[in-house]
Amino acid sequence: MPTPSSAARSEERPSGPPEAAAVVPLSDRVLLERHARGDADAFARLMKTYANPIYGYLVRSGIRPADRDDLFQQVFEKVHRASLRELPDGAVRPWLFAIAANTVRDAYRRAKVRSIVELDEAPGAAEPSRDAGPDELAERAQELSFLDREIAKLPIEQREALLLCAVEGLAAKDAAEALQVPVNTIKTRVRRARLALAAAAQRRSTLQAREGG
Amino acid sequence: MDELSHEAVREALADERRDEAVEAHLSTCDDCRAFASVLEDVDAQLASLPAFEAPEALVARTRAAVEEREEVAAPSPGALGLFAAIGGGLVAGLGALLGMLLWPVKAALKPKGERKAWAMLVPAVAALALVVVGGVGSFVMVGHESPADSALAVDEVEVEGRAVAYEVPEVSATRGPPPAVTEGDLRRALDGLPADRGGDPSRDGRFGQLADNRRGEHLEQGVVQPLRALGDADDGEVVDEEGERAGPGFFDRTVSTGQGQDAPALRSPTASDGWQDGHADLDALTFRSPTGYWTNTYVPGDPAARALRGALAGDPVALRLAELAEPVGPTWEAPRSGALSLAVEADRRGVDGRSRVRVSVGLRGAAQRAGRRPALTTEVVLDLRRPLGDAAQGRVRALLSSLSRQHDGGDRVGLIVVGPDGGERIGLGAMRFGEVSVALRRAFGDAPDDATPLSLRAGLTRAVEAVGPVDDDAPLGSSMVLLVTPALDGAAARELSPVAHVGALAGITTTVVTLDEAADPSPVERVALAGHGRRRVLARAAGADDLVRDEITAVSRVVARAVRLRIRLAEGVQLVDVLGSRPLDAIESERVREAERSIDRALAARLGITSDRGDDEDGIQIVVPAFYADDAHRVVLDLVVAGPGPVADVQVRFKDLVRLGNGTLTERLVLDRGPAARGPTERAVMVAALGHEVARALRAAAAHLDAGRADAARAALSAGCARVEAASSAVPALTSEPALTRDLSLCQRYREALDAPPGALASSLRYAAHRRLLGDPLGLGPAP
Repeated sequence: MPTPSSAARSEERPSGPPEAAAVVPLSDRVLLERHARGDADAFARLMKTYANPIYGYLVRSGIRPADRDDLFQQVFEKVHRASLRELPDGAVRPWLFAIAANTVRDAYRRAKVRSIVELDEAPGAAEPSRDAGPDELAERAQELSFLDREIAKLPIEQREALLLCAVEGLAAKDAAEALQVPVNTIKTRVRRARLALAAAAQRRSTLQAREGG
Repeated sequence: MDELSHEAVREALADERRDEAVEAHLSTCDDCRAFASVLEDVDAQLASLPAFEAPEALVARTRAAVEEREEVAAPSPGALGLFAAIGGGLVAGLGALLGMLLWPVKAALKPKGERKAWAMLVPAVAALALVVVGGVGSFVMVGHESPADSALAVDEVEVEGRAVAYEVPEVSATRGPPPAVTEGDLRRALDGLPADRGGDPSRDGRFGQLADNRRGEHLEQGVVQPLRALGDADDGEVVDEEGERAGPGFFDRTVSTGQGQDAPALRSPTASDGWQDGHADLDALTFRSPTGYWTNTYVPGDPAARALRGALAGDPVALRLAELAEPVGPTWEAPRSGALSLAVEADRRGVDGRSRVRVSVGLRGAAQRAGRRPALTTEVVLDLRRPLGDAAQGRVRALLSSLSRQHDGGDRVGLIVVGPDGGERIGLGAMRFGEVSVALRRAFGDAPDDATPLSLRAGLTRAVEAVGPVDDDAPLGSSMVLLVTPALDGAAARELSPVAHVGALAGITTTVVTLDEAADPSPVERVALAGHGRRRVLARAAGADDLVRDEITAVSRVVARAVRLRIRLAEGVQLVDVLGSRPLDAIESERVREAERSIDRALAARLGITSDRGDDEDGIQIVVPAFYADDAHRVVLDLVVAGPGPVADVQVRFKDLVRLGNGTLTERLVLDRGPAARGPTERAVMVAALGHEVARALRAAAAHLDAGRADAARAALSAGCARVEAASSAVPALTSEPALTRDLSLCQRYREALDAPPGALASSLRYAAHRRLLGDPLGLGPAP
């Protein structure tokens, strides 16, 4: 309440350009900005950070090897074009995965299918624990292959949410931003995906037990 | 059990909600128990899914494709300029041609007498003007970047192996190109912690937050080395040392008592300074220059104050006494939008002639939290020196699950287990979905192969070291260690407190969570206080979410940073003093500038808030490093005005973390002609000014008490009381001010306590002085 003694002219005026930017990891943001300014090396550095996660996302989304390289290239070309138009409002990582997720959806839409299960590639950078023996390694590889296959069989919405949150480590909020759905929806999808995977694993172990018996 | 119950249980398991009902169901249902185990396995596998590696050839091909597109992308500014030049030339040429063609026709249509010879020049001049305009336009476009381009400019240098990015200041037409940012500048910005005095900045309350923000290379010196050097140091010594320095940290002007001990100066209650009538003794005053940098008086979370409170932990009576002190509340509204609101108020509405006036420049933080909290780095230290029971394990599981669920993008959470099978279970930043289950299985179940015995002290040290170097410019409280333990004993507290304290000085708070409700609170409180954190009890798994939310909320409380207050006095207005503050010398001012620029650059890089600092301004300048939500603070000026009219123009610029932009507030104070006419607003200013007098009396009493002069301490308190009473008798409405009633009661109770002073009374007096001016904005909470 202004007082008679003060000619209150309190006025808030944000200065500078519209500032919608949010907390972003410094390096990614800086790299995008530098890329937008024509620094060729910046994009290479950005790719170095994201090439493997994006590739992994495409593999686990069940994209066929024949299409995978094209989609990989498409994702980064979209990133390139988008960064020249406008830098992301929020964090770079979810923004980049949003582009990847949209690219995968477009690919499925073009193929008129909801999932394309084809996982013929073993994880390239799988680093087994130092203490694992050969039997354990073989068993684990089998398990992971099973899990990857089951992930690829999930409905696309659940798979997207699970990959972003559980595999890529995005917070639910960031995944929600990337997939343009509410946070609770993301949580529900991840929960359903985990339940589906657990149910599949339980069915499999029951089957194995019967076969063994 | 029916099907629905199974489903409900499985949903609960997937949500990691293992409450009593779920546990009861699991104890009777083999199927669901098996499902729980499978779900844990799946989560564990998800958490450890290996990364795929993109083929190098594919990456190279993609890069080449992007680079190819880049070359044919949008034309450069130079090319745009060239197009503009060509376009301008074409337009100019067409204009000239058209003019020359039309002119004879137009001229022929006019009567002969009206044909002017100079009119023939019109088309030629028009054509020339078009050419000039086109040319200048193209020069501008070719030769200069647009301001928008330069505002976006971000550059990077390497400082001792670390890449440091910063935003290049905008190119200014009047100031010329920005000065080059050197490695030295950045190192100073990163390391040179601003202090408002020459001493060790980390030991200075006024820039405690900045000191706490110190990271990186300094951390090696500030945290890691002290941690390594910690021998048998007793935390009591550390706390005492902090307690000692708290006095001079707030008390600037001292007079010699002639007894070899400096005691704070206290004005005589009988000396008239024009408080009541505004006219007396004005000629006897000395005035200060209303320019330059002054010390910041807004120091919530001041390590010195926390240490003082820590010193009082063992003396609840002295602590409760100090907690009677409270500041006067704000009389102005919280901001409707944005992070801060500003109010400039005087202790009177009108003056007739030359008068003494107290003016309050008030800031108030938004009630809401900032839209984006800073990234949080949390290292959980789990005390498993003794095995935990099932119920306690459930609580730990709930706590970690809650941390996992509530963590946000950019947050880093890690887990270190202490005990015979100790070690890091989750690396900082590595927490993914399901990893908690995996980590806890390894913690509570079979020991992993890499487990080694780890003592509690070693575990805490490791946690502080791990959290420290993560962030270059994290706001106060955004890095923390969460020590989760069934209980602590005195010996453990003595061992842990120095480690927690060293971490706290670098801004890494240590909060202690006990799993046993019956645990002795004193040792826990001791560690939490030394670590500037909180003491929590997690008696039920259901309380985990609230606990984590509270911790995150405390971190999210900063709503504005780099708050620059500029107060310009109107012509004829003289400055007697800025209460509780003092002018900074050249070196101190430079440190403040560096600190401000450091925050400015960091926020530009991290939050995208345009960098706008670096220049000095006229008037009194005060820089506040961080302002907290729902808090208010007054800077009180003691002035002499020549008469009615403008008194001061105040501008506040700040980094608005609510709106993620630069914010500016301005206000002007004008006094009417007429009587003082004091309403609630004016009385609040008087109470705020008297608060400084009371705080000064409390500190004076503390200094006397330290010197063993109980009588002098009593006299100082009496003087404080007399000061309040004199003001109340001059302005009778003040007698109804609760803050002053509390002041009188406080001084009286301290005088009574002096008859048989408890050991911590001096600390209590100093802590009361701190609270009288600043309250408890960081929620240190009431005495346990």
